[in-house]
Parts: sequence; structure tokens; C-alpha cells
Amino acid sequence: MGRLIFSILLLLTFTGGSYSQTVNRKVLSARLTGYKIDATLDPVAKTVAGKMEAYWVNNSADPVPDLQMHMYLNAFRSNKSTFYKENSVFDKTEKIDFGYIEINSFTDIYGKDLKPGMSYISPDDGNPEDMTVLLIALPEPVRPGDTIFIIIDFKSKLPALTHRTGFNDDFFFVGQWFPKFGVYESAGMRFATKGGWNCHQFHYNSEFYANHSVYDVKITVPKEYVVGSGGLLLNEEDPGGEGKNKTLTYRAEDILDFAWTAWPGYAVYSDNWKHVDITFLAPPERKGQVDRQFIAVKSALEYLDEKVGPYPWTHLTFVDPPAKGQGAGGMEYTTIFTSQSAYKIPESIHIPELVTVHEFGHAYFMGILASNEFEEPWLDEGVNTFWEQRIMDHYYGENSGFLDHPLLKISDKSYSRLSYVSSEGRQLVSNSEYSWNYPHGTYGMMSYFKTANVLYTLMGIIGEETTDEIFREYYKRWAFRHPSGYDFIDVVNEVVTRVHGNKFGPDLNWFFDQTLFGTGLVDYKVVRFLNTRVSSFKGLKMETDSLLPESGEYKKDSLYKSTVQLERPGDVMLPVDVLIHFDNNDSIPETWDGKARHKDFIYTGTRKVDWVKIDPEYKIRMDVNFINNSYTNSPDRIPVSSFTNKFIAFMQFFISFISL
Amino acid sequence: MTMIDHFKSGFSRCIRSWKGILIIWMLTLFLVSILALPLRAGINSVLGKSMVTELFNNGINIDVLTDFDKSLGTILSSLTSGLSVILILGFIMNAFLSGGIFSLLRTREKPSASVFFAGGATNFLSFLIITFISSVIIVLLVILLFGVPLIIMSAAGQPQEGAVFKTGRILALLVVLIIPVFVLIADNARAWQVSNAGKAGFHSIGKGFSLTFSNFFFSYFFMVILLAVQILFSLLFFKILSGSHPVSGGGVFLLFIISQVLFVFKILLKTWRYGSISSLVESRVIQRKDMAKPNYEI
Repeated sequence: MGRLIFSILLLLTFTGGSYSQTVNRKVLSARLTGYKIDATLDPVAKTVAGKMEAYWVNNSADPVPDLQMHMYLNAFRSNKSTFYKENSVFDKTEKIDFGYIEINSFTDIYGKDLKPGMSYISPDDGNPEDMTVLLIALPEPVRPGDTIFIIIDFKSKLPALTHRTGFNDDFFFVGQWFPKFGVYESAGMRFATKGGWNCHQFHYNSEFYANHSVYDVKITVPKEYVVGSGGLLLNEEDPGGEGKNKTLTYRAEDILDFAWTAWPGYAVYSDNWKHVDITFLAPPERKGQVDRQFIAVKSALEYLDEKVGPYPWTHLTFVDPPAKGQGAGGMEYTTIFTSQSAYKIPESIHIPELVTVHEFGHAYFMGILASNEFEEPWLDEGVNTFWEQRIMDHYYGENSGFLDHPLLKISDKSYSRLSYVSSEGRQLVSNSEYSWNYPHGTYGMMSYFKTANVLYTLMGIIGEETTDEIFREYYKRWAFRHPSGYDFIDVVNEVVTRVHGNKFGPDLNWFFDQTLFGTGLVDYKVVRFLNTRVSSFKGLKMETDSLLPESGEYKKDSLYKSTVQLERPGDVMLPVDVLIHFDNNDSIPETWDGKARHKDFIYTGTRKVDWVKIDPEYKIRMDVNFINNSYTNSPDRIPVSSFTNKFIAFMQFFISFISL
Repeated sequence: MTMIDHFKSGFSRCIRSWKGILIIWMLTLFLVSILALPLRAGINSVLGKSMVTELFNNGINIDVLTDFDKSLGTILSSLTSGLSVILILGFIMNAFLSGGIFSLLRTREKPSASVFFAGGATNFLSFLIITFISSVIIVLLVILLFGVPLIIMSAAGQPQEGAVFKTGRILALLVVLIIPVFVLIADNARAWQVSNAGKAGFHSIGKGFSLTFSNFFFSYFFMVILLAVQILFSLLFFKILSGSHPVSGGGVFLLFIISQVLFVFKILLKTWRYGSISSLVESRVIQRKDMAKPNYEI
């Protein structure tokens, strides 16, 4: 009884802070885990010494006999880890500055030593050298509804900064730096048929999966260091005098991960958007980019807030690492993310904005809609890339979201399509793979770009309004929970049926099965059209698609039978729009369900077909060949001739120039 | 003579040499067309009867280029090979053509095509040597003055952000200030060579150096003005061409005419530079009396 009362009191003390709503306006998640960490950075030894009190709530119906925790930093412990083994680029003999987490002590709240129950497991590949998943056999199982508290004394040695976390000289980005609970999935949750820990090893091509937590973190650093983190700064303690260090106290609620950065060279800039205080850390030499960065992040906030759902936190920090910290660039940790830029990067090159918009977007697709990035990277990266492209092309020009130079404009969605269509591995594997199983460097293309093009194609079929409605519903239903890909597809099916009835069938599983979970290509082609003069009207058989005038006699030489021939060279069957244009300026919009390999449209009348377009608005972004989507007997040669004339002139000029 | 006098002299020589300018234009157009016309045919072949060219109305379209697929690789590969050959041929051809134009600029006879071709043939090897060596010197200069310090800076540690960029700008400015010297040396060498056809190209380069440094500051600013005019015209050239997006066949034809007129004007400016330098060289030679009597009245 005493122990029970003590546990309750401790829980209340620990989580009393959780439920005091210090940061967020309301509790957003189940807060199944919480962390209280005192961390001290030693910039010389490149270590972070930590003392952590943490809890996990067993909200399943299972008694759980063990804990599983991520020890991500151990991926950098040696070149025998799974992370390094999967990195074909890394020279296995190269000596690098490794990283690791060492546990000095591990007890429960009563002081019982849990270290004897510790062992490292490799549930994904059985690699005995990999130490990124720690299993702790408990003396007693955690009963359903109970909470277990642990106290860990650890030391994290940061690696040389090559992959998101680590140091370079006096620059530190500290991510995945503490022992972190995996996610216990009870039966029926996502794909789990029985209860168990979902705690994957750290792979070269994988990201993360965790519960929404509360973080109370104290960070002690030398005074000259400027710190940024995913938490709200509650207190800064500077003992003054000869003391060399200062201690900053942060709190973050309902986020998946707590990361922070420290570097003496940061300049700090502030802005706000509605209820969100935004802090931006950047090298002072990049002051000229501050406005660009704030515009980008506020554009993303505005767009996603309107079309998906509200941004629930009151704080946001983002970082533009200096050149020596670029290994940390382009990564998300919900309420802190890193952008990527360079000194004096021209405004026509939208890379800083694109990275900022993308990494901020993960606050939604990962931070709020907390999918499993190990198992379904497309649901996070691909969905987020889709939204990043919509935001970039909306705010920076429909044709210039990526690059806006007088000589060359590139939209973000075109860049994405280029990455997918031109990839030689686009048919090697489907999106149903776990992240580390994508072969031959296809992870990025499949997770990011193919998925984004799938979603653009979906939007092309069902419409933009329905697409936005889908994501609003997805947000409403799954915010601060762990959706699977099928949960997302269920939302799609429900919304599409509600809006369009059975227009696309009882559901859209046929779409996702072919595009996302299949390996086929989308390709439609106009083969040709024929206009055949019909010598006599009498006895003419009426064909489908004909548009005969209602009545009247016809002159013998003025009646034509026009046949439009379409083919589907690709394997994926999608409904497509077809626009048929006649020489008297009439147009007929048709729809082809795309199921058969070929389709003919036949018309009889006094008009002749003069051009045909499949997908006239180029909405089926997965189509690997836009060139064969249209056909005309009078192709427009002007752009190519214009290009040739300019090429000739530039070449003449250059030849004259090089001969002094 | 003042700078203005030399500019005027150069201009009048340039106008007299209009036949040479036209010959240069035609031969350059022919050379480049060897590459450009098959390129156009190749692109049109890939596009076939598609209407996707409508996406080019706002300039290069990545979606269309993406769909060239393997054909793009073939086209680019052919283009790269062709460009290399054309540039080498162009370099060699221009040695001949500049020999011809310098002969026209300095001749007392009525400038004619025969004088042009005879001068080109006579001075071809020397001019090739002069142009080649001058170009190599400029390239080495750029690498030494600009590239090496930046590489050393970048490799030596972790310079403050922007330091490499700022240093690069200063070095680039230095390079820009030095290049006119070597262009001047080349032009002086060529102008001297034309009147001393029996001399080797290396000898002419030596003369180029001595003529350049004999009255350096005058010559340097003289050349800077000539090059500045050419550079400004070049910027205008690029701006006009890159901003043109014809939408009709007539517009395309007009673009061709305008681009060629601009190129002819470019040759004219270059010829004016050659003529002005020729005038300057002749005045120096008369003063120094170390050259045969010039065959053109100043």
C-alpha cells in the first residue's frame, strides 16, 4: 500500500508538471512517456552527461515484462553497426570520431538496479554488433494501466557530424542523444496482431517512431554558447562571477523528440505568427536571409493551418546551421528543425525556403500525425513532400517554386517529377517496404518523390477540394496518434465516397494498390487520329461518340468519320480526361477509364479532328511521358526554332569571345 | 595622337573593312549551323507531333526535358562532342580570320576579299601561336590568382563564413583588372605581326610585351575603354536574346535577323578594337623607328 501511495505521489509530482499545461493551452496527447533530463555539455570531450528520470504508462491490456529503448547514438559506436554496414558509401576502414551512449546506472524509482536485465537486441537484422535497441528485462511486469519510472545515469559521446547529430569543432547539434522508449503497440494498433514493442534498430535509411511525450530538460553549457531547442525556455541560470557555465531550463509538451543545438556563433532572431513565437538561429553572416526564412516558415504555417489543421504549439525554433554544421541541416524534431542554406545564396534559388517549408511540414506529418517512419516512410516523407510542393508553388510561383531565374524557371512539383520519372529504380520496389529495405539508393526517390507524385495524381483525379477535405479529416481523426498507411487510405475512401459517391468505385484501394503499393508505370498515349471522308450518308451506321447534326442533307464531300486512337502503354489503369478538338473550334471533353489497353473515339460529322490531348492539364503527374499525351498534324515548331536561333547566336558569340 | 584620334582611326579602318566583317559573320554562322541544325532536327524528332511544346512558351520546361528520357542523354552527348569540335575549329578558324581582318585594317590598298584571305593565310600560324599562348596565359592567371588562394583557404581550416566568398570577390576583381593587359599584349603582337610577316609568332609576342609596357598606363586605359564597350554590348546582347520569346513564325524569323545583326555589330566592335590598336601600334612604331614604314596612312 505504501508503495502504491508512493508511486501515485511520484507520478503526480512527475506528471503534475505534465498536466500543469505550462506550455500548451491544453493537453494534446496521451503522454504515455515523459522525460526529465539534466544534461551537461562538455565541449572539449564532446560529451553530454545526463541524468534522466523517465516514465512509461502501459495503456495496453497486456502485462509487459520488459522495456525496449532506442539507443540511437550507438549507431555511431563502430563501423560494425547496422547503420554503417548499410551505408555503402562509407569506407569501412576509415577512422572517424565515433559516438555512443553509455549507461552508468539504471534503476527504478526504488533504487532497484535494472542493469542486470539489460541486453542489446537486433530485431531487424540480427546484427550482434548493433547496440541501438536496448532491452531491459524487468523484475516484475508492468501491469495494464500501471506506470513504470526509471532513473538512468548516462553519458553520450557525440560523433563527428556527418548524419544529423554530433559536433564539428565548437558546433553541436544534439539529436537522438538519450535513451528513448520505443512504442508499445497493443493488438489491433496499426499492423500489430498481438501486443509488443515496436522498436527498430537505427538504419542508414530510416528515421524514427516514438510516443508524444513531455520533456523537462535542463541544459548546462559554457556561458558563451547560444542554445536552441525544441522546448520553451522557462529559465536561464547564470551563476555569474567566475562560473563558466550557465543552465537553461526547457519544457516541451506533446512532442515526439527533444533535440537541441549549441554554438557560440549563433545570432538569434525572433518573429511571431498568430499564437506562435518563432525563434531563428543562424550565423550572423546570413543576416540577409532572415526575412526569406521567416517568410517561408510563416507561409507554411498559414497554408497548413488553413488546409490541414491548427498548429497546436506556442513555440517554434528553427536553425540554419553554419557551413561546418551542414551535416545537421535539413532535419525535423517537431518544434525545432534545421534548414539548409549557404552564404549569399541568390534569391532566385529557393533551396533555403524549400528546406524550411519541408522541415516545418514535418511538424504535421510526423509531429502531429505520428506515423512510423521506420515502416512507412512514405506516410511521413512523401506526404510532407506533397505539401511542401503545394506550398512552394503557391507562394513562389506555379512555375518557379524551386528556381526562379530569368533564364530558367522550375516548379517544385516538376523537380519532384523529374526525380521520380528519371530514376532507373522506380520499378524495383513498392512503397510497402520498410525503409531499410529499399535497394540501390531508391529510398529517397520512393519515399519522397514517388509518393508526392502519387498524391498529385490522386488530386488530379478527385480534385483539390476533396484532397484538402481528406487531409482535414485525417488530421481531425489521427492527430497525436499513430496512424498507419491504411488508416490514411481509409480516410481517403470515406471522404471520396462522401463527396463523389461511387464515381470512382466503392473505394480507392484500386488506386493505391497500383500506384503506391505497385511497381507499374503510368503512361497514356495518343497514337493518332484519322479523318476519313465518307462518300455517302445513306446507310451510315451510327457509332458511339458520334456527333451528327440533328438533321439535314449532306453534301457528298463534306462528311467525315474521325477516329481517335488512344493507347495505354503503362501498366497502371487510371481514369483520364481526353480533350478532342475540331477544325471548327469545337471541343469535346471525354473521359476514358483507362482499363483497356486501347480506346477509340469515333465521330461522324462535317468537322474534322485537328488535335487530341490526354490529360490536357497535366494533372496525372505520375505519367512518365507527357510528350505522347497529345497529337496534332501541325505541331508547333516555334519554341524549338526560337531555341535554335538563340543557340546559334550564343555559340557565335562564344567562339568570337574565346579567340580574344 | 590622343586616345580619341586612335578611336576615330580605328573606326574608319573598321568601316573600310566591312567585307572582312561579313566574311567572318558568314563563316561563323556556317560553322555553328553544322551543329545547330542537326540539334534542332533531333529535338523535333523526339517531340514528333506532340503539342507538349506549349509548355515551352515560358522558357525551358523541366517536365518536357524529363520526358526526353534516354533521348536527352543522346542529344546531350552529341551536343557535347559537337561543341568540343566546333570550339576547336572555331578557335583555329578565328586565327585565320583575325589575320585577315588585321591585314585589311593595315593595308594601303583598297580592302578586298583577296587581301583578307591573303593576309589570313600569311599570318595564320603566327596568329594561332599568339592567340593560343595568350589564352593559356589568361587561363593560368585565373587559376593561379583566383583558384589557388581559394583552395588553400578552404583546405587550411574552417574560415569564417563568407570569408572565402569575400576573398573570392577581391581576387575576381584582380583578375578582371589584369586580363586587359594580356589582351593588349595579344593585340599589339598581332598588329605588329601583320607588318612583319616574316617573323615568328613568338617574336611577335615579345614585341607585344614591349609595345604594351612602353607606355603602359596609356595603353592600359585605352584597352579598358575598348573592352568596356564590348562588355556592355555583350550584356545588352544577352539581355535582348534571353528576353525574346517569339510566338509566331514571323517572330522567329525576326529573332534570327536581330540576333545576326547583333552578332555582326559585335564583330564590328571587335574590329574597331583591332583597328584602334593598329593605329596605336603604328604611332608607337613611327616614334620608335624600329619597324618598316607602315603601309597605311595614319
